[in-house]
Amino acid sequence: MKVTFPHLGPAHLALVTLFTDLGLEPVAPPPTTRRTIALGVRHAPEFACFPLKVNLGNYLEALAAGAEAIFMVGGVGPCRLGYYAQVQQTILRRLGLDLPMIVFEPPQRRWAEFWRAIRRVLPPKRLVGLPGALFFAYRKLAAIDELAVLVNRLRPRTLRPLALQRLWEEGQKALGACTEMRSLKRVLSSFKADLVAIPRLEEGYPLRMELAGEIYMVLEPAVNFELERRLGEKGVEVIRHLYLSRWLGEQFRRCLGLDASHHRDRELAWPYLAHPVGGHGLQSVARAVEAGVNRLDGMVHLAPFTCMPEIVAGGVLPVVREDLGLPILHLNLDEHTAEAGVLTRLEAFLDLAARRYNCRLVAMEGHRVERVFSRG
Amino acid sequence: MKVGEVFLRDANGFTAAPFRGRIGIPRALLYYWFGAAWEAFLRALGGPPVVSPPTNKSLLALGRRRAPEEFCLPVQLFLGHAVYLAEEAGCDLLFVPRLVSLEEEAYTCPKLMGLPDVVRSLLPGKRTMVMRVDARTGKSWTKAMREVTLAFGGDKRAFARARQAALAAQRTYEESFLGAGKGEGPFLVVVGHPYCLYDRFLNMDLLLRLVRAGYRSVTPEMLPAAAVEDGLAGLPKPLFWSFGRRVLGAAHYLLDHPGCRGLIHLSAFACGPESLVGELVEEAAGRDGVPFLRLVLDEHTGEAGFLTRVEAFLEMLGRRSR
Ligand code: SF4
Ligand code: SF4
Repeated sequence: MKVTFPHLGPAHLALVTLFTDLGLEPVAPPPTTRRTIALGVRHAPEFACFPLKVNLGNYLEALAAGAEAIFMVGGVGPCRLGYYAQVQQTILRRLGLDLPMIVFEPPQRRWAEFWRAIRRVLPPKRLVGLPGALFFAYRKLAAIDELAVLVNRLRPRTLRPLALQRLWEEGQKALGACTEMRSLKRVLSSFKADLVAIPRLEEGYPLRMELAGEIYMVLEPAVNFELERRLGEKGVEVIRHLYLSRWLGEQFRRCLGLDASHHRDRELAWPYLAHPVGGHGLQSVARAVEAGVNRLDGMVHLAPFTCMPEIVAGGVLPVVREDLGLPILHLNLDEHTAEAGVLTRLEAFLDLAARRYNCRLVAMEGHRVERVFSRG
Repeated sequence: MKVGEVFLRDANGFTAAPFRGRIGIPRALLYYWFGAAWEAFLRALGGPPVVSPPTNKSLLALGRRRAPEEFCLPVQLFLGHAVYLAEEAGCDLLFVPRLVSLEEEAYTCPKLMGLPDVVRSLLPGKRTMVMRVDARTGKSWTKAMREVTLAFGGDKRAFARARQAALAAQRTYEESFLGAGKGEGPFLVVVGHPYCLYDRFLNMDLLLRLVRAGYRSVTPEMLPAAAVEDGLAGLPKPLFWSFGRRVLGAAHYLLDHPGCRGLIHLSAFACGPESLVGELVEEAAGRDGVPFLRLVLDEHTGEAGFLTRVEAFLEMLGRRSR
């Protein structure tokens, strides 16, 4: 069966491996472009989440490329993600495309149901390979993310931004093509060495900024105007906590009752937001508090237009900004957002942050405060 | 530290002493469903609360001016009412519910879950009384009411009395709706969240206009809970928004009824859950061949556009029935 799935940052690289290992035939949708977005927007409800619309565009393009079934994740609220698949299927049916949708629901105490859902898709003899395939896909994502962290560190310091970018793209491809653990490790370390070898400026401190917000907008360069890269090339060290592999790891541990990071986030956010609001709303506030306490130079908060959790977060962030003196740029993006407008706002924001930074550097006589705490 | 103080901190974050003074309830959002009970409860606990006046132009303008612009219209309106109570009506304390979940495995809406925090950030220094209800974790109305009672320094007897009053008020209110739903003959289904359906300013008296045009309308609240559940049977996946459940359940249930002449889906500008639920409602109406009208309450389109669409719909219904 030819299975497709929506794009989310580097996810397609891991999903292709996973599905191949499980004996399915993956069809990755063509990379998300303006055309994809327009296609999704045309058929989706006006006020639906922006990611839902882009997903839809991905499906339609993948169907044109021969896909016969769609893989999608589910959820149990309060966010809309949990009902994406059902609404998307309704829309596709209306377009005359009635094809099976494989929805992966988080187990949430219902292990029996979860198990049945897996059994429906996979022939029994493939089940044996499932844990191994999952683990390898996860490791692949983790390797890509490890490279991304390094790239984010190097970008503001590099003297050859173009070479760096090229290497980063090649690295993702090469890691994506690996089929076994040993080659994954070898490719990763060779690319790391190459990246580090690119000449760079050794002195001075770049601005450091947190990039937080709704997971789709943060992870998908095609919809956030490659913000991460732009920030880096303008001399900002991007610190981001939302990496797909890390997030999946947290979810997994949380299912087993082992992950404590959400308790920590709740404590950080508590003075401003005393209750989770679904999605990454609480995390965005926690990141802002963390960035403020650590004296980062700013935070960029990304949200799709009408995103409920991030609207709530955006409602309390001005107080965090006041209390902790953290410049925050709140960007609401969707299909109507003009690139030029975003870039102008970004410019102005960076100017402001740089001025503040210089004042502080003078006040501290050139010494830089180290992070007070960071998440392991 | 007295028990009351502990609970105040837990439930309400920043306050530290039992409260005496004027307490205000914004007449917005789920006030339109639980308001009578809240009022009765607070009255029984200590003095009558101040309820903001029904929505009017200036309250709406206040909300739109002061609230962050991305918020949906109903939340902006709530913030308008809250600002009015705090700054113009001289309330010392605002009653802000945090309704996380009203039934197991369902939520209200992320914006209602974070409402007290948004109010606090908009009105720094204002004391808020938060009543948190979270049925998922077993924190029912009873527990929430007990916390508020303790925060007011009330004892067990006060709690029992106030709870009785609240439950009685809620029952009376709900029964009045059930009564209104009974009737014979053809009808229109009007679905939406309570604050869209029953805030007469916000929806420009839609229900009354329908009556004047000769249509009986049935809303989700006029159906017994069992009927709504009935309508939800057969969904591919349970819906996890309480009010979305009512909307979709009522729509499914009533669409099968022979007297159903048309379906109106009323939602607010930039409402998250309804953007998806509305899609499912529309599909259901299309499947049953029932005329469907989607109305979005929006500051920008204004009265004229809204009413034109309603009239056009009614006219179309008239033509069909002839
Ligand atoms: S986080 Fe925002 S964009 Fe994502 S599903 Fe929830 S509401 Fe939609
Ligand atoms: S349900 Fe819709 S209208 Fe109500 S608060 Fe949430 S987003 Fe706003």
